[in-house]
Amino acid sequence: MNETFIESAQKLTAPERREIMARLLAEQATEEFGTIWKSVRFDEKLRVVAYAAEQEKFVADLRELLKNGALIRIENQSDGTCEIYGKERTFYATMSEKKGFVALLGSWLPNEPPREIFLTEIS
Amino acid sequence: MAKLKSDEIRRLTAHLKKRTNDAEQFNFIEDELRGEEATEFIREPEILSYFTESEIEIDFEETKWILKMIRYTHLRMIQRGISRDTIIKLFKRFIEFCRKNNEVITVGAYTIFGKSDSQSKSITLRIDVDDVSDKKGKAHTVTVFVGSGNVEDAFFIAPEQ
Repeated sequence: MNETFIESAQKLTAPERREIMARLLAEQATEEFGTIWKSVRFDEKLRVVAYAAEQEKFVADLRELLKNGALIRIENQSDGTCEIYGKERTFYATMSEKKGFVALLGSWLPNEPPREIFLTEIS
Repeated sequence: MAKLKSDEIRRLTAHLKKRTNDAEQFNFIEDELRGEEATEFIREPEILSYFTESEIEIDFEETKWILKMIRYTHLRMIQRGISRDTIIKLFKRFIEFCRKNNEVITVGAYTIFGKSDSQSKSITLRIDVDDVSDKKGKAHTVTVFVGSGNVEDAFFIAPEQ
């Protein structure tokens, strides 16, 4: 494999790597750092709402994406929080798969994933 | 499907008791909070009506930030016993961190991992910076929601076979 390619990949942040993996591994669940990736698909009964007013404009797109099937990465099973990878946008939501319910919390373009900030402890 | 922890049930029921005058409704919610599907129950929009959205102005080195905490955040804060001051403290430390590291805060999503003090457990804050404007009031609107909560308590699962 091209060494430059590997070096470039190593420079990416974890969210940037996830954005790429999500698109390379569509429809294929795989393990990464103790978290879970899986594909989901919902029927017409799916309920999608926005818990942040700024995200309301994306509700229809997310609903369409989930009805067609999408790859997700579960962040926390207890909270149901996950990242949902669409072709043009990634969504952050809390999801109840069995109840067919998704509440949108945030979203971003694939080339603008969340920046991770690790705050050091207060001395 | 999963149950809530006993301390989470206690905190949520104490909050909800103050927010509802309808005993029958409160009993229904309390039963759900103690039930096998409680973690899913509290994701539903109906429960959010008992929590509030708030906006807090934070002045930091000549910059005014409007920190908005959505109802969902309030719910997770009550559930996990995270105070509003803790969120504000973490947010201020985030701004301070970016300033010290010459990192410009721009519109977009941030995931912040930190502790409010050396004694407390880790908190994950996921925020959306919705607006950055340097005109007049230098307003920055930010939506905050508590993501994983306590990372150390996060429940990770293996891939489905």
